[in-house]
Amino acid sequence: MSLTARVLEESGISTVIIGSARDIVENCGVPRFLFTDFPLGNPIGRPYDRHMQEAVVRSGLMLLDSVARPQTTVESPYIWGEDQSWREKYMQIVPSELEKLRAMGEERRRNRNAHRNRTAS
Amino acid sequence: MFTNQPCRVNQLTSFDTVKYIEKTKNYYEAQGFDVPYRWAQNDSAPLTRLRKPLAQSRVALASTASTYPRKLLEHRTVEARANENLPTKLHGEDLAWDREATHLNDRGSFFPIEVLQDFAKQRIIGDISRRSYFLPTEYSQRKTMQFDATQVLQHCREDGVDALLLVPL
Repeated sequence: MSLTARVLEESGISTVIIGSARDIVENCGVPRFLFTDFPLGNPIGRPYDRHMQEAVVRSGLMLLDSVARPQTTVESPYIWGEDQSWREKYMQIVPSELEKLRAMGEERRRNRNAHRNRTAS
Repeated sequence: MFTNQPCRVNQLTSFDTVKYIEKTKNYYEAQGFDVPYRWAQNDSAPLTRLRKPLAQSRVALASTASTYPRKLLEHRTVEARANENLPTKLHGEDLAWDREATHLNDRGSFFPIEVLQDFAKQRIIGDISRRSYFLPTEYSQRKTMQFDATQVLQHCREDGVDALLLVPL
């Protein structure tokens, strides 16, 4: 999505990204970015919290008018909730699950190779 | 293209930002993938100023979600869908997001079309594009740049879009 934003900006269309993977978006380099520090999946706000969702979208849209320099990141003041354990749990590697992870990798490689073979033939 | 240094404002929370690039690298390494994914990296970014005030601008919405249960290994393309024909439920089966911490049952939490419609009525924005755009997250950056982004650009031009709000899951 960040790459798409860059292509559009180069072609004369203004963009703003609202997202939660700060390092990925900033690494790519985008003109305007509202960072929402939420678990991946709900960058606009907690489900069914319309008040938060409206405030987040409003903040994002305001960047279209206000930003004068590219690669501007503004951090939304909202937090997900008291439980912040999702930060550690996401893609956490637990030693007791290493075998399971390796098996998942094997399956992914099998599926990918089978797909390649199908599309090549 | 501007080449100013990145601008960071509003450091408001005390939490450490999640390092998704590092987490992803470690996770796939643990799955036996030897070569880590190389995320796009640029030292500068283009910037197009809004040609007219936001209150007079046409805004469109783009999402990495899909209107149907999309599969990772199938041929995935950009879809432009008329807003009056959007399904209530949008999908993210082929995307990486935190399935333990949250869910996608409320479309508004990742695809704020109703909020945009309200903002158009309130004249916070001029109006909304007649279509929204759904683009997959591709492994290939070349494919994203050459095909998907170009397709979105074409749709934006057809729909007279002044500004695009992009919301990746």
